[in-house]
Amino acid sequence: MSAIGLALRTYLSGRAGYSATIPGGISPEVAGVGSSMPYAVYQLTSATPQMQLSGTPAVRTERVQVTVVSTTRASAAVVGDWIRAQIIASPGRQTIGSTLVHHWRVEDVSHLAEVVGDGDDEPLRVTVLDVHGTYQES
Amino acid sequence: MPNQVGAGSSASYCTITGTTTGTTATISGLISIGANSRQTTFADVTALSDTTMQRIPVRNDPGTVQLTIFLDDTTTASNLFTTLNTRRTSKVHTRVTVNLPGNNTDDLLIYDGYIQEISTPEVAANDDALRFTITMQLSDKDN
Repeated sequence: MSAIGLALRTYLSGRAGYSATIPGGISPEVAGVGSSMPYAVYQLTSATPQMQLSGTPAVRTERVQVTVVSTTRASAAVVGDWIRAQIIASPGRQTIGSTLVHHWRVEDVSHLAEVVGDGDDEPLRVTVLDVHGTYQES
Repeated sequence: MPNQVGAGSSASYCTITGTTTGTTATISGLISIGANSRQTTFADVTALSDTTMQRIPVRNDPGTVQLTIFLDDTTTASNLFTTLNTRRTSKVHTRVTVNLPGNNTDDLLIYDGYIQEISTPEVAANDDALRFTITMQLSDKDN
């Protein structure tokens, strides 16, 4: 479970243009069967705590991979750009849901094609964002 | 007794007035406590007739200790950074007690002295939580 991923989903779902830009929504790890396209999924890649002497972490930095899936590269890229723009629009300290996010940013964006192994030749296009975020642990 | 690890430790501070200690307060957001080196200085008492250097121990130096603490972004007038800095400017004789994990080692580390130095946090656009460091000059003597 990614706190930053969940906060990002909450944050994006409240932004203007969310439903029109990502009709399939954002889901943790995998999207539901039959999701509209484009859709996005997020997955925790790593989590690094900054520890206090007491043994409890003060803050935690997560690396989250957000994968946008669409039928065309342009469409996937548009969604990726939109997500990136939303993060840039509010990069600093903010409370989202019950999570105090200190900072987040997009470190990397990549594009690739993926052929779905369902017997269909139709390729899907994927844009992957590498999101880093630091949040209050407790 | 098992060997000790640092994680799980806590520290608190209070004011010392003579032999009386005041109300203790927890040092929240404590990251680390630097090593304290206690030394004894020696006087050179070598006589002209001596063929070997002669030195005797004279004074005990309690040394200094550094504490590194996460900056608590709460009300500026009352946060720990301000509180400890005020102790520095007011020259308050302070006791820091370190409670190591476990029951048998609680009183192993007690530091009495004055806050000699306090550093402001280094602020940068990265993921590091802001932290500051205080240096205590250890001393038994009341100001």
